[in-house]
Amino acid sequence: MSAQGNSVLSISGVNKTFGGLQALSDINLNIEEGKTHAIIGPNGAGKSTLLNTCIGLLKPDNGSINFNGRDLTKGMTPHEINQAGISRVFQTPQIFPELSILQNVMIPAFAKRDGSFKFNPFKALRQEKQLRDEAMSLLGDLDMAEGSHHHAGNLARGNKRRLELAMCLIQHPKLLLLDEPTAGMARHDTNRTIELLKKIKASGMTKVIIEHDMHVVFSLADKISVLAQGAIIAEGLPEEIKGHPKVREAYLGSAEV
Amino acid sequence: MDAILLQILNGLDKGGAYALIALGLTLVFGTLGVVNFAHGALFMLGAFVAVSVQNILTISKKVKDESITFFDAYKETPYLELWWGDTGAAIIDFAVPISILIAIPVMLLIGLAMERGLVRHFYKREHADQILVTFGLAIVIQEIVKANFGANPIPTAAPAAVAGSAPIGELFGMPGIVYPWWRLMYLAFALVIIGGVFAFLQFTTFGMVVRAGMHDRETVGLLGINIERRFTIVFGLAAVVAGLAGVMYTPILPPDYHMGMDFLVLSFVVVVVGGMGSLPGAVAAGFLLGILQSFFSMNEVKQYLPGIDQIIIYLIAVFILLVRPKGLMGKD
Amino acid sequence: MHQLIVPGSNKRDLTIMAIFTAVVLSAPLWGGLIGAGYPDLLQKFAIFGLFAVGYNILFGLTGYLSFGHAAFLGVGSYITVWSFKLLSMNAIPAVIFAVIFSGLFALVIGFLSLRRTGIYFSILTLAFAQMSYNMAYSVLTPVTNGETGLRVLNDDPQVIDRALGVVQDGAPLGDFFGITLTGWAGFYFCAVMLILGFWLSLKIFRSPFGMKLVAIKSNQTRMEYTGFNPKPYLLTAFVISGMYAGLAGSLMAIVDPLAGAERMQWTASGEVVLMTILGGVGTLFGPIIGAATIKYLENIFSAINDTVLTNAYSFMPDWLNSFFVTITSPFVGEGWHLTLGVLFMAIIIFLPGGLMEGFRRIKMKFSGTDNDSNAEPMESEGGAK
Repeated sequence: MSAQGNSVLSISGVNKTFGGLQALSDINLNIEEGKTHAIIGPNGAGKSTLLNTCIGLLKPDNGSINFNGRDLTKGMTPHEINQAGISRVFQTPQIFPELSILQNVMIPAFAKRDGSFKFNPFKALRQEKQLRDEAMSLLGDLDMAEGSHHHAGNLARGNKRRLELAMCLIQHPKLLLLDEPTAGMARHDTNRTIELLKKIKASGMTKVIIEHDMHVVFSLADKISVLAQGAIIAEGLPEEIKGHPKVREAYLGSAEV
Repeated sequence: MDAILLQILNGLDKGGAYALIALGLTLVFGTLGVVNFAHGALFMLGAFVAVSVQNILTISKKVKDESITFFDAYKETPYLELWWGDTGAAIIDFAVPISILIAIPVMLLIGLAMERGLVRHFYKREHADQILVTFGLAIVIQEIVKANFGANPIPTAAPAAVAGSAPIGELFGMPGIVYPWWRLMYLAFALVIIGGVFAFLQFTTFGMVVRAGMHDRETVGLLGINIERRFTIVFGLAAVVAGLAGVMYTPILPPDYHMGMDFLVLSFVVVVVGGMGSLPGAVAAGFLLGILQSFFSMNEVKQYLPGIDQIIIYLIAVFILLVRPKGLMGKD
Repeated sequence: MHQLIVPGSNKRDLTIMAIFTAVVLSAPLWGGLIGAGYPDLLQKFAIFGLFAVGYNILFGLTGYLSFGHAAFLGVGSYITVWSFKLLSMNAIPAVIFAVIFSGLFALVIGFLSLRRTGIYFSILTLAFAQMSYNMAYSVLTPVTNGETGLRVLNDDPQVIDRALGVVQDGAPLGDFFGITLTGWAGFYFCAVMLILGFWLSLKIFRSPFGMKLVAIKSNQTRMEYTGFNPKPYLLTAFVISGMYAGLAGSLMAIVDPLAGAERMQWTASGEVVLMTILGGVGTLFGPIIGAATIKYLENIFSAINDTVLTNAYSFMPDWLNSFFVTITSPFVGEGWHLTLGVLFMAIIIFLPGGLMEGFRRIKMKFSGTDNDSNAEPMESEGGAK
């Protein structure tokens, strides 16, 4: 049983301006270990900015961002962010279309094992038995082991998302970021993705998920923060947020619950 | 001091050519998103329009030279002179200015053909493919010119009326400094064309759409505007600009088949320094680099830094690309 | 889409190397059958094949288009001639130094050029190539001997040779412990280098490193967010390809000890791009096939002149004969470059996957299989983790 409130990512007093625009005002967020924390809000609320600042890609004007004991306010490159333990999923699934499904999953495994750079042309890919077995095992868990030698580029969108998640999972990240994981998906695919995310949640992974689809949010979130115009206007358990007047106001009734 | 003035003028000349070529390159890259390695070839084709016009005007036949009496001597005399005497000679003399008029429709046609026939099929393809196919086209054009006109530079003279030099020094209180009229005219000409292009973009509806397209191609397309046709016209315009730059440059530098490539590399460098996608940047960088190259060719400088004139432009480009990749005035 | 990175197998790779070695070493025997039976041409196959194989590791796998590799070719040539002049006519130190120096040069240029991506990277390499070319003709004339080119002279120090009492009479020629490297001996030296170079590229294609290069081309953003820093990978690929180019340049100077700067022009880089693309960019065999094809065609086309054409068309009536001579003559002899340009364009427009792609499509037509047919399951084998 994990300790209550063990913070994986804690953000306090963060502000960010772009030119004259206040993109983020006084953000305080605490992502607890093992929990799924959803961030919702109308378009233009600053969710992408928040996401990118949280992981250290953008430098905040002030405030502190602490990930697992590490200060992220100095600005980091994407690969440093990943090596620190954060994996992310993009609105449009980002995979390697020219490689096979198995190779797609082996690449992140290499990054995890060998770090950001390693050069050894003399050991063949086919000799990396342990990594391959690990990758196949994970693909098996996700029902993708069959046909894993086919091109990832041929996959349907829903399966690309699955693959992308596999690529994140094989790295056992301390924090998994999901940027609108069901964007553009039909109902059937969305449900499959929710099932998969529930499975991941059950394994105790810490997740931050940005979403528009309220069905997804309420199926998965342990805690919800509502972002509007760069500030957090409400935060709490799903039931608390459901009927929250400020939230309704921010969305002007556009939330589908 | 007088040497400096001369170098500035020299630099402005060359810079004018760079600016014009870079202007076309940027128009095409900024609007169509295409990197056109055949753009230098358009410059070269313009120059060879002038050569061709000169060749046509001076089609000659052997005529007995009456002034030599002790044997039969024949002189190649152009038909125009035979038919129209002094007027004919004058027409031949004005071959280059006449070429300017002829070059406009010719280059426009070539540009339209290039866009419709080849470039438009590469809009969706990667930059590498665009570079390679236009590079191939540049080689083909270059070789065709070489096959037809030979490998040697072909001298083309400016009209005799402007063959002399202008006492430019007097404007600056330095009497005695002279500079060829034609080169001054080139500079003026370049500025007029640049001004014309900018005016066109600023003050016409077409130009406004093009500017919008340079900013955000997708949205303009979504607005239902027939962007394809405008692309073709923009490409044609860029071809005309490059071609005219070439026509006018012929008295300054005798055209040869590889001048396209020579100018192209430098022009890409200019575009990068000015900022890809920025028209004012391309123009400013063109003149700037032309002047710099001129200065570094001065003997006083070459004494201390031999060979610096050859590489100064590249050094600056490398410096800019590394330190300020946007270029001097680039967006994005 | 077809799979660039196939896992292969120990047995398969050994077979590939065996067949490749056999084909290359026996070239003097079968070369005559296709009109390529003489050493100079076969040397060119090997040298440019090597150049293209190396270039493919950068352009083919990562997609980064460099116009600067001709500069490394030039460096390889110049360093080789200097090794001849200062140390010995023996090819071994020449090759070693050529590869080292071109590698270092590539390290510097690659490091600077890779600060940017895409078209900016290409223009940077272009700028560096032109700079090198210009400097070779001007500032660096003491080292390169400018337009005249660099040669071995009788009064050169040749420290090692003199110490060992090795004497060459006649024109100085590349040497391998007593064997003069011209003609067939020259070819075999180049052939061995080609085999080694191909073997290394095979290793890279089969390694995780090679797969990561393809991943960078496939989706660089995802690579970064997966924890890889693409820069060292790209720089490594750049330096490796630069060293291959240096080796090729060195071999050029070994079989014909003269170094000139015209090899360093950025347009000369265009030729290796064409070879790689014609053969099949990113494939294992493509570059060599492309290089051999280009050099073979060049050999044929350059030698044709109007007389040859007239004879070829002799079965036609005179008027038709003249007509055909006129329309084909721009494409031969001096006009070989025109043909090359047209070929280049045709490949990029119609068959961007090159000859390998063409072979693949033909194979598919005959075996009636689908697009994904050469996706291979990876068998685990051999070696501990």
